[in-house]
Amino acid sequence: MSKKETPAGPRPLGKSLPPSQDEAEKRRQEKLREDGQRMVSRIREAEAVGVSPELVAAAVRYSGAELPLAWLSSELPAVVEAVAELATQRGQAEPGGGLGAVTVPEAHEAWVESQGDLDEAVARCLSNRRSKVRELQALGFGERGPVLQALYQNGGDVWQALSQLQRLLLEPFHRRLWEPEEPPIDFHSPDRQALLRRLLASLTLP
Amino acid sequence: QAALRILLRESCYPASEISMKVGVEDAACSANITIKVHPNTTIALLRHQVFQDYGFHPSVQRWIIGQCLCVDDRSVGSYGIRKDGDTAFLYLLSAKRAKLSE
Repeated sequence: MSKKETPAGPRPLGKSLPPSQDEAEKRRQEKLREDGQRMVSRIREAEAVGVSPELVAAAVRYSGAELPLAWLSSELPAVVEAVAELATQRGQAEPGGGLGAVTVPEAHEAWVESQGDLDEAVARCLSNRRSKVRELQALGFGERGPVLQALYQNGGDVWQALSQLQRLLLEPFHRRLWEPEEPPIDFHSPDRQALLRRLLASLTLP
Repeated sequence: QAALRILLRESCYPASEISMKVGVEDAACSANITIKVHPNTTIALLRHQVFQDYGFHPSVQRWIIGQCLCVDDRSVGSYGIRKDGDTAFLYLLSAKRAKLSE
């Protein structure tokens, strides 16, 4: 590709192709370039107002809108809510206590990841929820109810949900913190390691 | 004479956060939780993080990793925390012992 091509100039490949095919090929390339350029300018416009390229692409693919930014601000909320609602409904059928209410941030993320495909977005919401529930289960929270509630309250953020669940778990430690008397150190405790840690922590060595 | 301090460069640590197991203990009980840390997080920062997330004042927290009672300016990585599932212990002193007042 060292030679600079001009549209009117002779092309070495052109000779082997019949004129109509040559013309079609030229049009295809031209369209590819134009479409690409249009997308770039949309993305540039979106970036200026803090909207990601992925969100623009999803909007264009879902709606075919000429002005994806305008579409995103007027139509997207309803689409995302529909995804959340569908996913919530379908999640109820999940064995073992359902998957709980799917939140708007989760639906939004799934919709973008699915590049604007509604059905795929719903399926993605459900599979994300499943793996979040499994993850929290593996971290010691096997009871479905509190897990689903924590996920809902934290917009599906698994780490924030985990923090919330663990805060509840550590509540008794807060209470004991203020108790006037500590239990005496039992030097005959079977858990030598725990005893050692208590000594190490409370003697405040240099 | 001058004090020598050695800090590993950030690039020596794995780049991403790891999920560290924490055995929380006080004089009476223990419980297990998991928290997210960078291996290059200092103990001081970890204390602050746990204060923010769980409300235990930094002065009642004593971190124990391996056989060490951890000091503030070292990183968790320097005590050997490297991978998901590595364990640290958080011993909580009583408020009285830590001379903390409400």
